[in-house]
Formats: sequence, C-alpha cells, structure tokens
Amino acid sequence: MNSTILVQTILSGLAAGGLYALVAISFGIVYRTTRVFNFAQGDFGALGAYVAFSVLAALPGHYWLALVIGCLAVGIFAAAVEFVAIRPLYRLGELYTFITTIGLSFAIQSGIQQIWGPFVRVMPNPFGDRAVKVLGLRVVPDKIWIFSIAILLTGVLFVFLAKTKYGTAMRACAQDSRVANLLGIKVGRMFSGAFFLSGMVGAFAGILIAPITYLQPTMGLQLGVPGYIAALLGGLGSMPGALIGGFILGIVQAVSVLVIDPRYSPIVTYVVFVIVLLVRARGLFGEETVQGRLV
Amino acid sequence: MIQRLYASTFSLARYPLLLAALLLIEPVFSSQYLIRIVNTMLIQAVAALGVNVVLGFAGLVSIAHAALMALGAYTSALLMLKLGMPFPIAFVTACLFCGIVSGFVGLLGNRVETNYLLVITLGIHVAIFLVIVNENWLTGGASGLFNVPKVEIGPWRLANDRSYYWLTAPVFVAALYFAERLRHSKPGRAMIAARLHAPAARMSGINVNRYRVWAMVFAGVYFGASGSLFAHLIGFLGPEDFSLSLTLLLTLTVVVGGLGSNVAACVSLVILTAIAEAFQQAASSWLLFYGILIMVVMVVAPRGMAGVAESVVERIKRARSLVRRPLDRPSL
Repeated sequence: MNSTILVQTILSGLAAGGLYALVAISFGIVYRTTRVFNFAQGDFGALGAYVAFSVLAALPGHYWLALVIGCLAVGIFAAAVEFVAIRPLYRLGELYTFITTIGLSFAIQSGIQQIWGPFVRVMPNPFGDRAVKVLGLRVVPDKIWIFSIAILLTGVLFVFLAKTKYGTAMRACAQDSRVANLLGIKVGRMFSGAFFLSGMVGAFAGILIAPITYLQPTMGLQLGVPGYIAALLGGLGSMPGALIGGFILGIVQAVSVLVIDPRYSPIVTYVVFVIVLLVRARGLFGEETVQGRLV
Repeated sequence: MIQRLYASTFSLARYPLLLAALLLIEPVFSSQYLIRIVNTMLIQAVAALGVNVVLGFAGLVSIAHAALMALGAYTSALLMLKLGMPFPIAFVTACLFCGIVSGFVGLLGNRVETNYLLVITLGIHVAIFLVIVNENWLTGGASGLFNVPKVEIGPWRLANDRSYYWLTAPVFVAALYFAERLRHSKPGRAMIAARLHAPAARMSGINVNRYRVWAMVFAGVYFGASGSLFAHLIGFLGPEDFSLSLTLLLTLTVVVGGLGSNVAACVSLVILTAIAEAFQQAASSWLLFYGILIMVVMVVAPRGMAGVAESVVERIKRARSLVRRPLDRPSL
C-alpha cells in the first residue's frame, strides 16, 4: 500500500464523513426540538436523491435546480408527515413516535422501489470525476467540493441553531414545550419547522452522496446508520461533535476497505459503534447519556 | 428470577383446553395449503410473543427479530445436518444460543439511550446475514441449505405438515403459557413498569437495566424456538426467509394487537396473515403496506386492539354505573 492510495482513501473518507455529519445534524435538529428519534432520516436523503434524479432526467444539466427541488420536496414531505402522523403521538411518549418513524422508514424505502424500480441507477456527477494533479497527488474534485460544502453548511446551521432566535426557540421546545408555549413560542410551528429543516438537510446529504454511491432504494440505511453513529460519537445535540464524529467514521470506513475482507465491510460501521459504546458512550462532546453500569 | 416465574398465581386449566381445541380442529385444515399456512402462523406466533416481551413489555425497540430467528433456524438445522444430533437437543441448543446472543445485545443496549438499541440490533442483523451469505462451506450461502432433516422425536417421524402440526401447536401453547406467566409475575410487571415510566420504576427499586436484559434473553429463546421450528417445516433454508420485512411484520403484529397483550398479538397475527393471503399478488409492496399500516395504527389506535377492547368494556361499565371514572387510566 503506497502513501498516495492512503491519502486518496482518507480524502474519500473525509468527503463521506462530511455527508454523515450532515445527516447527523439533520437528525439532531429534530431530536433536540421534538425529542423524536427519527429512524427515517437516512430515507429522507434517499428520497431527495431520487427526486433530484428525476428532475435531472427531465431537465439535463440543471443540477442546482434539481438540488433545490429535491431539498424542498423532502422538506415539505417531512413537515407533512410530522403534522399527520407524529403530532398526535407526542403526548404518548417517545416509544410511540419512534415506532412510527420505523414504519415511515420502511414505507419510504419500499415506496421508492415501487416508483423508481429496485435496480441501481447512476446519478450524473456535477463536479467532474476526472482526477486533477495537486501537489503530486491525484485528487478527484468532487471529493473536495463535497467536503467544503459539508463544512460550510454545518457552519451555517451552527450559527442558525446556536445564535438566532429560532434556534434558541427550538431548544426551548425540547426542554419544556409547555413553558415555551406560555412564552409565546408557537410550539407546533417549531416542530413542523424542525422537520422541514431536517428533511431539507437530509435530502441535501442524500443528493450529494448519490453520484458516489449510486442510487438504490436501500441507500437510506447506508446513509442513516452512519449518521446516527456520528451523532452519538460527537454527542447528541453537539454540532462540532457531529462533524468530527462523521469525519472519524468516514475515514475508518474508507481505510477499512483496504485492510479487511471487502465482503464484510458493512460490519465496520457497527463495530466502530460498539467500540464507542464500550469506551465512551456519551460521545466526545455529549451530555451524560450513559446509565453507568451494564446490569 | 426463574423461580419467580412459577410463583405467580394464574389459572392453569385454560392451556390444556386451548391445546385440546387446537388439536381437535386439525381436520378443518383439510388442504395442504391451509395446513402449511396454519403451521407458519403458529411458528410466527411464537416469534410475535417474543417481540411482545421485548417491545410490548420492556418497551425496547429492536429489529433483530428475523436475524435471531435465522440464527435459531441455522443452528438447529446445522446441528442435525452436520453433527447428527437428535431434534430435541438441537431445538433446545438453538433456543439457548439465541437467548444468550440476544441477552448480549441487551447488555450493549444498556450503555446508551434505549433508542440506540435499534442501531445495535440493525448491526446484529447485518452481521448474521453477512455470515450466512458469505460462509458457503457452512450455511450454503445465498443459494440456501438443502435437505434440512425432518424432525424425529422418539418413535414419531414428522415428515409432512399434518404431523408437524402436532409439534407446532404444543410449542405455541407452551410459548403462550410462559409469556402469560411472565406477564403476571414480578419480572414481567417490572418490565412493563420500566416501559411506562423508567425513572419511576427506578425510584421504586426496580433494576430497570437488569430486567431489560432479561426481556431480551426471554425473547431470544422464543426467536430461537420459532426459527428452529421453521427450519424443519420446509426442509430448505435460505437467507431470504428471514428478511427485514418479517421483522416489520412481527413488529406490526404487536403494534396492532396492542403493546403488552399476548393474546391480542396472536389474534392480530391471524388477521394480518389472512390479509396477506387474500392479497398475494401484491407481494412486492408488502413492506410499503406494513410501514404505512404501522403509522396508521399508531395514530388511530396507539394502544392497539387490546386498548380499543379495554376502552369499550370501560365505556359499558361506566354507562351501567353511576360513578364517573376517568377513561384514560394507564393500561398494562
């Protein structure tokens, strides 16, 4: 294994990690506002990718239009699902909303299969996949682009959630929705807004990763699971943590392909997860979530 | 813990009666098609009872149900095929093995918020399936395992579905019996308390984490039993027999029945099986149907059929008495 391959692998890992971080953040947006553990987060990404694919098929070359339409469509879809299927369940507790999102996840996955068919499709790559020589290394521009966009978007979201009125209001809803309501925050609107934003960001990640991983109905799980693990790695509700967690996971995944039997590579993500659980279950920057003892 | 299971007071007469009734109506399932469906249903009912213990009692959301059934099925089949063990020993080994694996998963799940158990169990599902598909020398790989031996218990050889029914029915009744006993015993009540309000349960001195692990072990044994029965019913085992859609079906069964009610879970499985058989041609969209149905049931009747039945009974009682009681008491 020479150093060039290793560097390129790490770069791909960073690009994938940036997208995992976006999924982790979009998952965190919903979790920190509504306390809903949304298992369908990755499937929002898959849905966005497929919508963008269809727009591109209709209007070849309009990549940015496809990106915007895909994000908006999934955002509206997520807000609608929240209004119809999840809103009646808040009073019943987290278990019920959680089971609902599992149903939603499988419904989206199977719905994609019904509409677009079960086979793998190829998404055109807007950033060019022809390698460029930089400092003697062959670098594919799309990786650089994706990495930069992920960092940028994370920064924007961080500012939005930490520094603006709306971000604070969202956190207030999570802490005590009744008091937030008394203080004049429109809690229902916040919940819908959280799902809308999270659907948009999730779809964005899905559309960006589509040219690399190809489109398939089950891509929701391949995008979602690393997203949850990145969220846990960084600590639930911590944005810089999600970014670093995503990067660590992306690099470990990319390097593991060079090291272990590729047939068993899907396991790596989960092994990382279990190691994190055993070593530091609260994540890097997270609040205390561990219940201490095993039994 | 185990002794406590027997210490609960519960009428035992109903189980022999149920078994006798099941065995008496066997001739009704005249065709080969019907008896196969009934056998499959009884086997799935054992698994559904296991899901009910994990999800309905303890409130743990896991999606490794089908994978654990696959583990039980392959364990039992391989023990008989490669090592020539008699069926009872293979069956018990499969149950215990699945129980241990499931309990181990539960231990990991205790390290984080309960929701993350789902991600761990997804990993278990992926891991078990990668082993089944990739280790051809052991499991036959993606093409499956042929010539799974038929069950022989002493002098009886259960070679066809009709004779196999005499095995599945007693196992199902035993499974129902133990699940009911669990529900009315201290551990079962502790699990339900942990689901309804974990902090309050902890305050009452219930070791919530320990009971969560026990729920996983108990359910694991059920999945092992269910998988083992399934393996020897068909005589062929393939990885696609235990997909995520089976997990979703079992989860849906418990949700439709109502979290925590064993009998309602069995009834809802019968209904769902009937629906599935009536619309066989739309097999490719099952996952979509199950997913949407879960969401609909959650909104319309979050406590399932058991909850609906309970509130109907409650209304009748209220109408007949002059005392007004609140309708929304927390149910078990």
